[in-house]
Amino acid sequence: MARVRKYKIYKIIKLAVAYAVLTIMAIASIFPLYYVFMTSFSNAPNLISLAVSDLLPKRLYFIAYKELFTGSSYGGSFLLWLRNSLILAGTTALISVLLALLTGYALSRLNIPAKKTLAIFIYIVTFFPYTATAVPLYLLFAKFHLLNYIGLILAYTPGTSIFAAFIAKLAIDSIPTSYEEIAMIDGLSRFQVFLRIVMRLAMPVVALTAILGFSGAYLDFALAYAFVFRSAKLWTATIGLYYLAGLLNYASAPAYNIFAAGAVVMGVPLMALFIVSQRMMTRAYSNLAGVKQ
Amino acid sequence: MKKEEVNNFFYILPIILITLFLFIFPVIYSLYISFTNMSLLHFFKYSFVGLLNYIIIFKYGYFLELLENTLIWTLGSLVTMMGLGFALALILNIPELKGRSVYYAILILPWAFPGFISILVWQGLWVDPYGMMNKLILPLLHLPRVNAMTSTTDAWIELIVTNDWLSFPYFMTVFYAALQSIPRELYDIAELDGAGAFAKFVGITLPSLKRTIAFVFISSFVFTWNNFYPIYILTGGGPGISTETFIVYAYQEAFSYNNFSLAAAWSVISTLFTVILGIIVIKYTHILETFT
Repeated sequence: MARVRKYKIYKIIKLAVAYAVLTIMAIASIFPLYYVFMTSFSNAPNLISLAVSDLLPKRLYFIAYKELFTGSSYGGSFLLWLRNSLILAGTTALISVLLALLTGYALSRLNIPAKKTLAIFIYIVTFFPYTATAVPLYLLFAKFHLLNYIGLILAYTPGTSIFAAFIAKLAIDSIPTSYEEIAMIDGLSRFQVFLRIVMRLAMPVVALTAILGFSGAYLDFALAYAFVFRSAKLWTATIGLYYLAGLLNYASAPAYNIFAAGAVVMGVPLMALFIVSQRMMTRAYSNLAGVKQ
Repeated sequence: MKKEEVNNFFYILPIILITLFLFIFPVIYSLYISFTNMSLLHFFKYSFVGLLNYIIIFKYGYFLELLENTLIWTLGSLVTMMGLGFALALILNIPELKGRSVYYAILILPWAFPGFISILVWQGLWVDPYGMMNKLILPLLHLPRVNAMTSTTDAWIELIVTNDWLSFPYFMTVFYAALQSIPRELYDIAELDGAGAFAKFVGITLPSLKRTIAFVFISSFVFTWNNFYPIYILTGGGPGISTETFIVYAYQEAFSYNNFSLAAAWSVISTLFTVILGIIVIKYTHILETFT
């Protein structure tokens, strides 16, 4: 009897500690996001005037959003930077999908000499974030007159598409080959089969690659800063946000609540995209970590 | 080689070309530049200086200090975030827990919100004395203030706490998925044998997760080693160069000081480290066997 009671008390304590830890971590997780959200609806022009009471406001101001979308600096504006980023990210996503699926298909289905060596060779590249290759790429691209958007797209594509190619390979492995064989008997060429059948069946990977490619390009700062910083008309939204945060030139930066509004406008859609695709992401990452599901 | 094999080769050709042009070629080119004196002053008319840049790096260039910083950054971040992620995964895996999905949905928010933007937000939070960290949070917890401008310890605390916040949901998610894949019967049998919580953890949980832990540790090691934005934005490598890592230093040398040949030499060193780490990952996790 005593043992059972002791066991019960242990269980209750364990659960109490569990809820306490989870609640503390949940508050810590939300706080910075809640803070930036509230700052974007405040009228505090800088950190000094941003008071604790602004986090529980009596009244919301929309002035920061108004100025974000109407103001301009150095001949550029936030809307222009956002447009630049969307074009850049969209194109990168498109090219990444094609390249990843093509490579994944080849790795999965086709008989290629020295396949394993090639796989190792391209896999090592995924260890290099853009920032690691920023200096060499800058030096090289300066020579080829590629310090522009074409250069940026070229530089963003391989990282995502190689990583995604390996995920695509695993996904294509699980599609039965019989569909393709039937289609090829019906007279489609191998490349047509790839475009019409494999791409369609591997839709989740297509979506995942598109999301990875899009967000990789949309959120890069290091390469964009190195390549297109010279003119404010060419800035991407990340350079714009860096400037709005007062990190480029503190004295000339606009009000801090405008930065917060920019962070919300840039971040929230991507956060939503992530949450929608989270199940897919988790499965892909767990596959890579060797977890069977 | 048969005709079909040659045909098949065209499917993989684009990625190989792109890898050569965007990775191998730049690295070789920066190796070449690292033996010259290219800088903003000598952008087109540069000349060979031999090993001068490397001599500067190893003799006066703080090589050892940067290596030490990079190790503090990588291991300090990795140990804390893996520990935190693992603890939370264990808690989420308690069968009697209610509201699991609500907690999970909230706890992955730091991962869901774009990292670059979060770091910019955290930069504002840490400003001393006006940021909310020093104005509200730390006094509330009765903790001393953090000023990363003057104290190296404070700078590391700021960097690692921010990095933990950014990354713990990833570790929590991967570990949680791995925990769920352990068959419940194993625990039931152990309980019948009278095993306590600790015995079950050491006897069942840890061995089942060995592979996942190894993979996550090694791949995240490379990622954190090369993680650029937290340091670049939060401390800029300061105070002095006391939180500067290889990758941040190379970037600043090039784009803040326009010292391209020295930056190229740092990049070559940093690339060497990454390649070695990459080979260790491939060897140790056998990850390519899943793929090929």
